[in-house]
Amino acid sequence: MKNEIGVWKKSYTWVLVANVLYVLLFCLLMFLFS
Amino acid sequence: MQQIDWIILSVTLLFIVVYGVWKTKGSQNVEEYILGNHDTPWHVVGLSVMATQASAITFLSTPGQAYHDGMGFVQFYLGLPLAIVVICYTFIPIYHRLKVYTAYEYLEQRFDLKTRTLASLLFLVQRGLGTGITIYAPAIVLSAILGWNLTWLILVIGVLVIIYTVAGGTNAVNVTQKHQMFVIFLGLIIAFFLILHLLPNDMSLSNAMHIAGANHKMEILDFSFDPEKRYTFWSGITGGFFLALSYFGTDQSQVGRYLSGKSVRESQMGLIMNGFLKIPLMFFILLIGVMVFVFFQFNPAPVNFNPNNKALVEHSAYKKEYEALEVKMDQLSEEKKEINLIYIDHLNQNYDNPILRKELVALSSKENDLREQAREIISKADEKSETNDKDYVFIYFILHYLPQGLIGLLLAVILSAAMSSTASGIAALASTTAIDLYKRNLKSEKSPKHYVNATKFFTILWGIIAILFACMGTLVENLIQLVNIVGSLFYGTVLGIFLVGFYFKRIHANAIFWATVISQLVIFYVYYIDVVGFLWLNFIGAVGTILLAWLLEITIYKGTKKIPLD
Repeated sequence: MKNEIGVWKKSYTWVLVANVLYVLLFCLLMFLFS
Repeated sequence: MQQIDWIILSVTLLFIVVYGVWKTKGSQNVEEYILGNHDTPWHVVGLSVMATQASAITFLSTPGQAYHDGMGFVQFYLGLPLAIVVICYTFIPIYHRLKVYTAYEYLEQRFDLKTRTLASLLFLVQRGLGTGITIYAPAIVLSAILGWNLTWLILVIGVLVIIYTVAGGTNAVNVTQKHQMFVIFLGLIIAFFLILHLLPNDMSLSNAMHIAGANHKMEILDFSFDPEKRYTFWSGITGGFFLALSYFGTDQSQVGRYLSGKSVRESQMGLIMNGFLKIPLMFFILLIGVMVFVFFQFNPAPVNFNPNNKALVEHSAYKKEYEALEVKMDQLSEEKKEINLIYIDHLNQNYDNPILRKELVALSSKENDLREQAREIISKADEKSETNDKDYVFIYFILHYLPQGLIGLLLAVILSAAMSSTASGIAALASTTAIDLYKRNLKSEKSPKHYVNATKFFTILWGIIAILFACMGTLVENLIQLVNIVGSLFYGTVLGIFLVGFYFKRIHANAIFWATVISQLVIFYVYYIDVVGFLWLNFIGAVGTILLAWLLEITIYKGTKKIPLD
């Protein structure tokens, strides 16, 4: 059970990390093309 | 549209419907019919959640939005992943533990019957109207541009959806949505590469994005605090968060999707998949719109993409004025093409020419002026006409520039999206009516088969109501706006009830019930006096309900007898 919760906390973290990366990617695209 | 388009369109839609019916018919108990026997794997849950949210108007409107206003709309989705994490962490484990069929069932276990019934009724009003518009919105665009009969189109979409939703319940919705999403992804990817292929001189994606950037279409993020601007980074993070929390956490059309998951984990994983994919998906759809914009820098574009508006002006006293604008637009198109070709030549030599960029901005501004003048003429010809043509940009491009066969596939994309969100809508309306109102208020227990038949009956009933509402759409001025407003009127209050349920354990039934009633009346009043934009009503409704419930609990209902929590 503990292990499962640990796995899920990691998934949540990855979703948030992925979305921070999306925002950074958008900043990069704006820097390159705007 | 050629014969091959008709064949592709009909075969795709019929295959999805027939396969859905064949694969899922014959549910014997309500758990299988409404919750799919808790047998749905995570990737199907994920696709189903995605298909429910992506309605036809998403694929018609979003590229048009990017065409006119650039990529900024993607910011609206920035709060969604955060909301999904909250729902996975809090909402889903509770729904699964209590083994509920609908989200509102939880409210009786946490509060009481009257709170459950109130929330169910608020949902039925809001989603009932919403499902009608899900059919009406694409039908009005397709009938205008293809000349199809509006009523027949609404009937075809509605009846096909009713057939498979009634036959197989949640399983049928899931199975068909899996195929519908496949068609949608396939269509969008092919369309994207084809647009790139249609650009002149084998233009690279990078050069196309430079042209878009020179025309201010690549301003993806806006960190300003200007309240006048609808889409900024901050409004996306806050407003988008509340809207997504309410939509994914409390709207039965979404809750029903992930409650069919095999386990808590599979449901969570399905939603997490959306947390990962929603922003890239919306970015991709907006990028298609931006590429359509780049395409029209080298090809003539109409001053207004809605053919109804052109027909309207042609039969009015403003015909000559409008034609003069069209001539000016054609001349401008030639000018833009010339400058853009020189700009690309310079880009190919690694030189981003600032003078040409300025010229492109000036031409773009001239084009916007011409479009504004066209809108004014259309309004003068008929002040009730919808001058905003963003819903028509992508479909105009599809029909005029894509090859035979692909037109059929992209129309299948649009109709698949219409059907998938309609199916989730009527399935949710039927399950809420059957479980929260009908079954809960029956005096004696009936057989499982009885409840399956009752849910089927309510599915047909809500399907017919949605079709009727869609048929009456033309009678109501600016229906889409109306439904968005109706949604915002109720979403905040319902979210407030659930947030109190999950996070404020000291607040009990009477306090939340009366807080909801008062807060709902306040929301109606705030809307009536028109002091804030209607999107803010979501936030005000949620926060108002929570604060009022807390105030009532510590004052009027202080020390009253509490019903023990689960």
